[in-house]
Amino acid sequence: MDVAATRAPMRLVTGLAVALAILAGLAPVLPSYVVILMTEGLIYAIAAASLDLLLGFAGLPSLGHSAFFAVGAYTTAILVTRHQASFGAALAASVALAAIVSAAIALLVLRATGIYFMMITLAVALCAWGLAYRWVSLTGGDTGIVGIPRPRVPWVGLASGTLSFYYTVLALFVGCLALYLLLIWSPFGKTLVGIRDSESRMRVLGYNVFLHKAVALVIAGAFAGLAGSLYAYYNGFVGPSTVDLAHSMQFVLMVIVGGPGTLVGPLIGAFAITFLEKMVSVFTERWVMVLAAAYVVTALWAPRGMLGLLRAAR
Amino acid sequence: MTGHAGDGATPAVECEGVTRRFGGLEAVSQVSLSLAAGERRAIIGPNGAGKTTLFRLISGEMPVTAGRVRLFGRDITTTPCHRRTQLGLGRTFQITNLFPTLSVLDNLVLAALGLGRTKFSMLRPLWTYREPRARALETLDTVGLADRRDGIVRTLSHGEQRQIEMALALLTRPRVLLLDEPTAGLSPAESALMTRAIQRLDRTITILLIEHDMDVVFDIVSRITVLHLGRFFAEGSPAEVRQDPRVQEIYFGAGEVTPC
Amino acid sequence: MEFWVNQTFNGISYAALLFLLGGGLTLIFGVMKIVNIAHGSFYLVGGYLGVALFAATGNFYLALVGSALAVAAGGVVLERVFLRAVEGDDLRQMLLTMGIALFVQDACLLVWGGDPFSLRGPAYFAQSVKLGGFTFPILRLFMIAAAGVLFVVLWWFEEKTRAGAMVRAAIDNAEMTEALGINVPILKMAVFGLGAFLAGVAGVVGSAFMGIYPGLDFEILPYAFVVVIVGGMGSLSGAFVAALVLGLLDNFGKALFPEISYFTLFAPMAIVLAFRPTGLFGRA
Repeated sequence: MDVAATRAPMRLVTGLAVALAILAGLAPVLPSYVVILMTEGLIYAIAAASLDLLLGFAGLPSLGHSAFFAVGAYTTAILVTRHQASFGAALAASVALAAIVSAAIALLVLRATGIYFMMITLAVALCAWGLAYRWVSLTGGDTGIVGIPRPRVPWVGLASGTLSFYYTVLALFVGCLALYLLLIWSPFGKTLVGIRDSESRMRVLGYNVFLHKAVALVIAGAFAGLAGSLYAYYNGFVGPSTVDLAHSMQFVLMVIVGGPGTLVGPLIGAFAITFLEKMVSVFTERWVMVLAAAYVVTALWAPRGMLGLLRAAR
Repeated sequence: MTGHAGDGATPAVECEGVTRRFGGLEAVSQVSLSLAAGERRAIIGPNGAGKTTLFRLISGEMPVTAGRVRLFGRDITTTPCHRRTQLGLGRTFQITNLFPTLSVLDNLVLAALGLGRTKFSMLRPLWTYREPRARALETLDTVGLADRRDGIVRTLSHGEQRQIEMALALLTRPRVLLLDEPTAGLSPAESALMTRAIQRLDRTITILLIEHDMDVVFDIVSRITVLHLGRFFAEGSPAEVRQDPRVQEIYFGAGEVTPC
Repeated sequence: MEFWVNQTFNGISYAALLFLLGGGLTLIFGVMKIVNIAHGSFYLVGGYLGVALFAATGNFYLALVGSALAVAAGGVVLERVFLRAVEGDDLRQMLLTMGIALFVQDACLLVWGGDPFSLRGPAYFAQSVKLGGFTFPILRLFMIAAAGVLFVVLWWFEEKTRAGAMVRAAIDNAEMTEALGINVPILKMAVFGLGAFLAGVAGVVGSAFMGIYPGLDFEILPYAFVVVIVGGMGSLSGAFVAALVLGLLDNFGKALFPEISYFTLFAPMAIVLAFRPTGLFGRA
């Protein structure tokens, strides 16, 4: 056991625990529309952090992450509205199906690297959008699937209120966060960073690089599926917009705005973009313009995100 | 794994008619060579001789177009790169190839993890594993970089990076070690230290060395293979190769420094 | 019989549109190595400008050329001002093109509103040619001719001219191109402009064919990307063949299995990626 190596992780855990305590403690005194936004922020944070495992840690710039998010969302929507599935069953099925789909996609996309990988993962997401849009009997097409009720949660009962649903999402978020932390600290997490830094060296050291990347894609896909499932409960409606280009890119933006490869950055990025959207929408109808500016500004001046800027300022 | 190492009968590395084509160009053409276990051999030749490409064919980073590669008698021609490492083949790179954003210690720990099962562990922090860390620290001591263990590799000097390059290869416990210009870019003093370090390596490790500095070559190897334009050109003891007028000619002809 | 002839003809004319769209994207990808999400925006702006120019002048060909040239000019400015600033960073370039795509989408909504437009074109576009008992609409014949002519011209340019040789060199090996003394920045700017030009042409032709409306920029993007990936990134001939395959598959797919017709887009891509990751005409 290396005591020195635990210092930074312990600081991180302390910081996160404080932030979570604030998120949990503040909710009852905040207006309910803020709590609703926080719920959305938490859901997107789960998805954005899972993309960070790929984009920031493993150096796999996947532009198709919304496809797995959508698999989770549609799975839940269909199971809940047509088969009256329980919360646990819908969550489990969404995670499992998203993992299976990402394993299949991994076999297709992992032979490409760099810019080709970006191009192909984006095409996968675009095709997923097309399927959601056209496969009407399964997805409801353009109208999507409506009327998804709030889940019935063990010990809580029907989480129909803003707060009870918020705490349900928060609890799952904490679980995901713990798993993310364990993952990035684990030997496997370190191998992903090694792959990001030098694939050829990893091979010569005896690593099956393809296998590690595929496992990372499956894990990230599973978490995105979980976020998608929660999103379906949160939104009550799932349609093709869940997986359209703007949505797919938004995950990438969240990761980069926060700071790729930091885990915490994407959490902040997810909250920032979610709140920005709602706040801007109050004042103007031109949210898309503001979002466009966010992309351009991030690309030109903050490619390492807010945490990157902080680090540079210090 | 078979215990052929050291019995002298089975060659440690054997290339048979190894060829690699890029489009219409043959970078390596019909190269055959055989290294006895424990042998230390240099490959020399002017630029474009195909030395590094041959290394990549032996290590499996690149598939051969034709020919066979054997490791201790076992045909590894189609074995993936990472499996060859597990079979005892190690390699360093001519252009330093490390994990630049990680600390020195993490670089070495990754190398120590490469052969075990621990690398797939996901739910336990890396710092709770004793064995890979102990091996990494031990190797760090042997290359004399113990005081730089927490430095980020990117910020280290070129000489220090070359030492880590060697340390990573050694942590894979190679029985055959391919060294691609280990002294590239080093000062004469650093170069001498690196040469000493290679000389002191376990005598049972078979070494194949690409090197331009002939002093380094003479200090380390007992035999030299000369490649020219992707083909086998000559082979012999260092003295024989040094005196071979044909070898001198290809170096002059290519407008390069003589190997002497 | 009539079904098959009609659907094949429709598929080929759709393929013509796909080629105009994907051909430009593949050139941009091949030379610049960027994921250009703004490619659909070129199409959208080309379409809207084409409608406006046609309304103003009454001359379809003037509208076609004028609009495509305007889009090309926009592309050149975009490359010079924005993309050049973050050259060499794939993710930043991709984010930039995404930002620009969103900006163009919203700007078009501001200028042209949410209603769909259609470019009627010259009166004879509405007529048909009868041949052996089958009717062929002239608009579709025009699309096929336009794509055919542009393919031949581009192929000749790439294979037979010195500038074309530079483009091929840049697609194969970017570093080498610099060493050969080719002015890479100018080349990139020109290719980006050419790609935007082709997308602009596609936009004008497309607005005569299926109209133009907000959101179409992102709707046609999957087709453009799949044409590039299936054909092989950077290959014009590949884009040509892929457009033909996808145009036919899409048409028959929509006619025969309307529900899962998007699989006709996804499946060819999956199959090509599984067996030939570099695409039909791609080089490793």
